[in-house]
Amino acid sequence: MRRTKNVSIFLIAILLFSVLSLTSSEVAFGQTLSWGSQGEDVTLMQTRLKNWGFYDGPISGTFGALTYDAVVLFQKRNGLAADGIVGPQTRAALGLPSKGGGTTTPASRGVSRSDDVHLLARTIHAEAKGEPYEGMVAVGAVILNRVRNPAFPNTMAGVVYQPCAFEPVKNGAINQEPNETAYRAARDALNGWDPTGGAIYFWNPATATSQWIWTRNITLRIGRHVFAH
Amino acid sequence: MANWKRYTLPIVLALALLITVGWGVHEYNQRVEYHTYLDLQFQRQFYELIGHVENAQVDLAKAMVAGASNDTAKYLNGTVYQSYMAQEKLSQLPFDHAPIRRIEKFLSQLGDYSTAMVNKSLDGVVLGKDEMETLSELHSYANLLSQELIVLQQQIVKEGVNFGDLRREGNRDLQALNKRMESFNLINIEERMLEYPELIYDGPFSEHMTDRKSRLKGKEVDQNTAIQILRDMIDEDLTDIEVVGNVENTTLDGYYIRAQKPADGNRDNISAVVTRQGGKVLWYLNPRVINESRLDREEAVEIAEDFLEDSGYEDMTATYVMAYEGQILINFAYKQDDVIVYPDLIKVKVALDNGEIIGFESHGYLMSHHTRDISKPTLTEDDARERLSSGVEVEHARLSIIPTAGEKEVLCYEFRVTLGADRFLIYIDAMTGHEVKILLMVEQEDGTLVI
Repeated sequence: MRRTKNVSIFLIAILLFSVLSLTSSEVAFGQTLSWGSQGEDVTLMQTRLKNWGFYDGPISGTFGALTYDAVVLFQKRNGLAADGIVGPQTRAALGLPSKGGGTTTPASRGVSRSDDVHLLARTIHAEAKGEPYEGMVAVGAVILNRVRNPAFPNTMAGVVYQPCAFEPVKNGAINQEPNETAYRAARDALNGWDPTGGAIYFWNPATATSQWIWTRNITLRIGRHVFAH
Repeated sequence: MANWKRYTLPIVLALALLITVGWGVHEYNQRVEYHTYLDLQFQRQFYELIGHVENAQVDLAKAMVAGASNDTAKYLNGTVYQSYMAQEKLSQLPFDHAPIRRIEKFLSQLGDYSTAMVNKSLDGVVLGKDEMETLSELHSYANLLSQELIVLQQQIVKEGVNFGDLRREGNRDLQALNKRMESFNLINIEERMLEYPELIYDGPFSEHMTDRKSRLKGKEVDQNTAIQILRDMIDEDLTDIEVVGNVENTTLDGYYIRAQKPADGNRDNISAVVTRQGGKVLWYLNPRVINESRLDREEAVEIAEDFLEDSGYEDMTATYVMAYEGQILINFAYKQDDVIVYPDLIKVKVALDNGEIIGFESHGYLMSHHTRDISKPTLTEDDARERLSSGVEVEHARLSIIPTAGEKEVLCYEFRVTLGADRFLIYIDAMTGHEVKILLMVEQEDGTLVI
């Protein structure tokens, strides 16, 4: 009798915990700074890093190669994960404001393609992690080819966020912070490198479910992806 | 005391259960709320989609009966706006791509074609018979589309399709809707769309853009020759070099090659495509890590110029330079008789640490390069200068050939001007004096125009 009761308490406790842990798995989005970030926070960070002797580049408000190196060095010295990404921990160690501190886009400046770089890098990171470099550029090129194609939306955001278009958009993986390679691939794609020869579709044969997609004209295979138009 | 102890546990458990149930109900209600919210957003977009298609159709009808060309332009502007809005709404609805792509394309082309007609009308040209016929055909398709969408809308209301169900698995309604769109309504439209005229005009979505032919001539090369061509251009010491794939069904088919390039102490994985016809390197990428910059801009441009010359590309002029993250991207355009030919474009990337060529891209050049028959401009530079706004200050002027939206080529005077703090490039047609294009130069951190 007593034993069954203990067991049932145990079970209920497990059940409750698993339910609670489900709800708390939501990720709190701080203002993570990484390669390509811009704005006041970056300026502040560069100033700090310079004062402390980690950084000797210009205080430009743009997170570039020099800033990246400085952040990695800072992280190593302070026992943080040296990934070059300023997440909540590094942010705290740097003494940057943790919430709502400044905007990440500078005011009163012409719209440049740097905003596109972020979105494209995020998409590439989510879709083509672990692919060869040219495979990442290729995914970026497909997005850009779609923008130019009449059968697709005419803006990059329209293409990326089109419902039923990309799996990582549906499951939220697109919100992950892209790594440095994804940024470089995004820039190469924006600068006109198109390994796919004008493809507007790509899929992974191992996971693609649509029959229709195989009726397209295949241009090239790179890594795990098939590209077609 | 003993009694109290005996009931503690059941009471705690009962409370826990109650809390869980309450929490569950709350979550469920919240889910229903989100669900309804999403559904209503989609319903709204569907209604707006129909509205925009109808308005586009009405404006098109008005444009056709309008007498003067400026009235035509006014109504066609409405069509442009309405069809782009419709396209945008459609692309936000959760439909599969396959059944709606024709409709998306139709709406894009309707807007694009109307833009081209607006431009004509604004130049005072009265639209010709052919163009009027095309407009009237487009009108009847817009009409058909809005009718079919209304039918679909009524079905959605009647049968209670819920757009809010985004999860594929438990979502028979949406799948059924997609099927239905595919099965009768849209197939209907698709079939009739087959008859719709090939739209060829000066715009980015014009039909001729999709089947452009390359101007690259030359014999077909085999795999081994392609590999040798890459070696000759990039590095004789490439190792593990092999053709890993073929680029097919494109205007410039070729061999997809991967290799390793010896570098200081390690090897870089590089990739490239060499075209089958003519055996030219279409693109090349070396994504290696770049160390501290040691070269300046001029040195890098010089390296890129030498590289192009060694690779057999002559008469190329640097037009734009952008440095970022330890590398520098240089755009080169072909120059013939002192005229810059922008469509013949080659891009070269140089690593700023040791001056290595880490990227090459020649799609524009291979597609369009040929010796032009450049006619003598009817306007002098001073004539063209007079067409500029009086507020601008001209810094530099030269002749250039630029591509139009539909990839035709126009001979223009290129003026680099400033107005206040902003810098622009203004292109004046050297024959007609029309202003063809104005580019606002967004000052990027490290970008500069080389003129």
